[in-house]
Amino acid sequence: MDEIKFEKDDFEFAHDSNDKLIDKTYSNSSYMKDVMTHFLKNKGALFGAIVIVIIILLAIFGPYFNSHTYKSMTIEHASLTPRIPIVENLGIFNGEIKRTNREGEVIVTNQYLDKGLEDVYYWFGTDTQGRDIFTRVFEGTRISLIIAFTAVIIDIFIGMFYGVISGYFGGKVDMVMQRFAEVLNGIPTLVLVTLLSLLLPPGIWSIIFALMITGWIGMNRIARAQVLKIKEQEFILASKTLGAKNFAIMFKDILPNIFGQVIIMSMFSIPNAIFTESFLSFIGLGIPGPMASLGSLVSEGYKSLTIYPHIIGSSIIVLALLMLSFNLFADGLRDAFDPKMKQQ
Amino acid sequence: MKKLKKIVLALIAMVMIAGCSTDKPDVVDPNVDVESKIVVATEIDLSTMDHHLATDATSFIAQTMVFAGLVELDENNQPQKDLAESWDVSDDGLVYTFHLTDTNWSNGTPVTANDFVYGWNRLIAQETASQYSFIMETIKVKNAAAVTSGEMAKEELGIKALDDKTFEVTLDAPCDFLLGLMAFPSFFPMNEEFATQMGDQYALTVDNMLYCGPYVMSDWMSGSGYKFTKNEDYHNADAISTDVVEFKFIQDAQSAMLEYQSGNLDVVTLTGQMVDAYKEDDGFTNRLQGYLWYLSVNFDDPNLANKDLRQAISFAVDREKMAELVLKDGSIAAQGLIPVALAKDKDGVDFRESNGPQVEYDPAAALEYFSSAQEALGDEISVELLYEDTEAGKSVAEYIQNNLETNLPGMVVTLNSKPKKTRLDMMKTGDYQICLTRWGPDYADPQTYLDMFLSYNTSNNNGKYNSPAYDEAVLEATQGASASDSAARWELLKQAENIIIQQDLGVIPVYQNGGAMMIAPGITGIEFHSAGVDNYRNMVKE
Amino acid sequence: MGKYILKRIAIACATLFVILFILFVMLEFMPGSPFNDEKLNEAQKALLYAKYGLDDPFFIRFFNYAKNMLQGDFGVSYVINKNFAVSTMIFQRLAVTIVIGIQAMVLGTIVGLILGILAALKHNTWVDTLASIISVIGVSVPSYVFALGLAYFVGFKLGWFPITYNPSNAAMSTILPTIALSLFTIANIARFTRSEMIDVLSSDYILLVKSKGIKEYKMIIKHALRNALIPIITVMGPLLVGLLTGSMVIEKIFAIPGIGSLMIAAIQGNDYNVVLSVAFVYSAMYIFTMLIIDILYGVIDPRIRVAKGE
Repeated sequence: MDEIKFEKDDFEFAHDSNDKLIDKTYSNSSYMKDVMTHFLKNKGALFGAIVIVIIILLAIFGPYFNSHTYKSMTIEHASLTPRIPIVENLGIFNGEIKRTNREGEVIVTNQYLDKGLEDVYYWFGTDTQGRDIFTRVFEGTRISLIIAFTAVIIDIFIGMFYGVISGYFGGKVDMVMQRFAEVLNGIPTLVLVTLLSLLLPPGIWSIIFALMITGWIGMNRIARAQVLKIKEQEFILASKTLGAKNFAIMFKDILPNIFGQVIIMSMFSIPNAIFTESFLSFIGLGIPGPMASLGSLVSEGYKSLTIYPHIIGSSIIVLALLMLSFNLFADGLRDAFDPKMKQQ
Repeated sequence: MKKLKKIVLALIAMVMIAGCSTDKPDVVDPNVDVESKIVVATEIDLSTMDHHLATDATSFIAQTMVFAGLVELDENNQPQKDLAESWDVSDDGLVYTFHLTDTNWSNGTPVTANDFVYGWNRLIAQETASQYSFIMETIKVKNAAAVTSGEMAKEELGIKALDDKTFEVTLDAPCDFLLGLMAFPSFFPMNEEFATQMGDQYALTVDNMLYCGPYVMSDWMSGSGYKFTKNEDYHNADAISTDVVEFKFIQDAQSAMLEYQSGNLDVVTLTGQMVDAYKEDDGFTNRLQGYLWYLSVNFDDPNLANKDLRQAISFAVDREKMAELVLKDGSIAAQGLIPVALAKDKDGVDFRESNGPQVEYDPAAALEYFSSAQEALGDEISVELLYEDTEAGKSVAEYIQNNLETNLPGMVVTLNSKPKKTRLDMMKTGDYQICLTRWGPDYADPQTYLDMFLSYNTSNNNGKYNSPAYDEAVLEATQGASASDSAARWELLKQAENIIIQQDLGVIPVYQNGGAMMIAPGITGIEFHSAGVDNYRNMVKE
Repeated sequence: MGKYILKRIAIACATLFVILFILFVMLEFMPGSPFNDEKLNEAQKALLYAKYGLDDPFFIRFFNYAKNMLQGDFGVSYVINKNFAVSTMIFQRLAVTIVIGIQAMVLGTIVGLILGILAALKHNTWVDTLASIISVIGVSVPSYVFALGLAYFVGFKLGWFPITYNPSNAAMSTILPTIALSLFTIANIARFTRSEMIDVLSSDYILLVKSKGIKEYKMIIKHALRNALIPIITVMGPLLVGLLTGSMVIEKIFAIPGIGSLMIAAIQGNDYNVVLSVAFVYSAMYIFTMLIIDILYGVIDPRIRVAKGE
């Protein structure tokens, strides 16, 4: 007996498809829960958040993973390439170094074996002073993060308030405030930072201070530009009509709306802070050695880039990962926070 | 979309224009193949061509290319005739008479003894404010001190043009190293008429100079480089075989090395790290320089005034490993205040050799001295090490820190890195505890080092080292009765070194600078001098 | 509009004067002195101070300097090129720095805009990811590392362009530094364009434009981009100055005789007049750029012109 099978096109809507209306009910959810859901759906942002957490954990605990400290040096072990137990059997990270000589032949040597260090493993290799790069990279990450976060948080506070107030009031207030920022900003940042770091005693706080001096101006600029755009909009007018006070409008109505922009800007400020620090290291005014920051490690490794690329490699990779994650994370946050984006 | 097209077109045009210009350089100078040309990389830009204002090696090297002195140093540091055809020294060693060779300035006027008189007077004139004015006193020219300080008229200085071609120098006391110093640019002649005419524009452009050396300066672009072309009027022009010598200013050692490897540069300096990669290559050259790096200790600091601590520091630094594994550029461990190969006694024995090592690495002894220091100063002793922000400076400072903290438990060393000028300023004002600093010899005699630490030498004795015994020994050797007796003088100098280094640890010598270079195979004739100016005049390219 | 521009120029000049004063004060506190070499004695030091008028009281020095500056005299260099007129030194070097800066700006903006627009149009696709990756590399790899990489692979291995600056082949010599410098601009512009474009593309008026059936490229260029450009222009000013100062490091690597490398040498050598003058020139360029941007702003967004009381 034949079984009756229904095919998909056996049935069709009674009405023309253009006329159909599908009702949808929206669940009632709180704003933060909404943000959370939205954020978690964004794979890139999630990835970023996870990597940031991992790097932060490594920055906290990484320097204690082995017996080396950021400044302990074994000068005989200088410039060793990475060697990782187990992985070395796969033919990578086994401490070998390849070099092409003038005749074009490739010569493979293994410094570990040449120096009789069969049982020695440096996961990221050692620098030219014979210090463990793994320990130094995460020690450096820790210091860079401290510098960047502190500087950027200060920047956000100063810059945002400054920009909002300036942009909101406009007119004379705006002119005076922006003129001041412009004068300060008119002095090239690097000059200002360099002169300041010559004046201040070497150390983390001097660098944070030097970064802060001009860092907030960019934030101010973005905040102000956004305020100019927003303050003409109807909802501000509505607030005003309803008798909201200036500060209430600024901080309740305007501030949340520019937050996305400020977050993006602050995510740019993090690499900026790290780079300015690295520039200072580059001209010898950064973190005093043997302490390390990612910037100082990069500029240190740069000096032997063409000879021992592995020295700069790990710090560049950590730096790049950190930046990538911050950017993805910031994007995710922005998408989640910004109600306008939800329509997409 | 039209706009986009325009942009694209403009871009293409730009690339094409840029592309066209690539073919040009081959056509620009048709003489390129017939001329022999050597390109040298310099890490420091040329500061000045006024040989009385110059203070750095780059400027001195450039000046020896285009100017000339009475003598020239050969590869063994021996003076050979240059502008002076011959010279006589009186029996008491107090009068030097130089007979000048016939040669002209580049404007055609002859080089005369008066040019030397003018040049020497200008060196010590107050208004010149030359940093090297002291050197006239060093060679003990009669009345030099009084004329320099302005107490006597310049005519009283013990120099005289007997006639156009005879230049006479009278001294207060004999000076062993006078002849060698005549190759130093400070003692080069200068044409009075031309220099006065140029006024404060003298030597600022290639046209504002008169040349009397093997080359003339044909191009000088600040920040980029400078070029020398053979001077056909030079009295010994036949001996010069390279037509064009170009110095290219490239700060970054790795970029310079890339240019060398592409064949665009013939002589480059390597950093210590680069030595590992290139030491097997042809053309790799390791040289020893006269610069001595030492730790200047501030005697005003209560910690460092403690001799046990200084002794512990000196014993705790492994200088051999530092030179071999940290610096790698041919530097050697310092054995004393006077570097190796600076000066020899009458029998040709190196000062360093005859006075033996004054410092050594001995962690056990270091610990012992440190314990005594701890008794006086407390268990934890912290010092700040000031150093300048160069690559080598950083590595060495960090290595010293590691040595001290490892070998001397309880010692805390903090590092302070500053640009050189700032470091010097901090040293001068006594705003430091220990400073890694250096001294380059101005002339081939131990005195150039020992004079620095006389108790009354305010410009160089930054640490305020004060030892009457030391002062006495040095003064006796330089100005006393023994000054004219070479052997006795040598003994006094050795004694002085013993006092300041072994006995008092007035300063702590660390290492003697090396220099690793790549010199393209086929190029010969670069002469390195541990004291005085390296000579690039006689380069030959096969 | 003319009156507005004039007013802005006057303000810019006043700003520059204030900046000059601030720089002067900062240098006053800078440790060290141009004349502190090991071998110089105190008498000579005093003499040099007197010769260059450095022992005058602060305000006299400041006004002398400002006065001379108006006449084009920026003083002489004490260290880098002894007794050279600073104005000549800067003049000789300014062109190459500006050329490289502008080339990098143009290249960076064009590539950045294209990347940003593409990323926004293909939001959440591989194009977007690729653009993100490029911009992340741009902000996360220091330009000097990228520069040396370029010098090594493109300059040395491939031999396409000169590695270091060659005056006889200036145009080609600027290509590698331009690319190295522009990466940061590309990254920044691309990010901002992307986020602004996404904003704009989701707005109602674009929906309206779309519904009118206007061609896509026309919609992008005429309607979306114009509105997205405003915030982008705000970042361009600082970016351009960032380029000029960023050239300090790049100039060192490619041995370019520009004012960036001059600045570093001057700071390290305590060459007061050079530090002051170069910093001032940088500031002047910045103020000038901001001026242009302000005016551009008005052209692009009439609302701002109105808001400023034009």
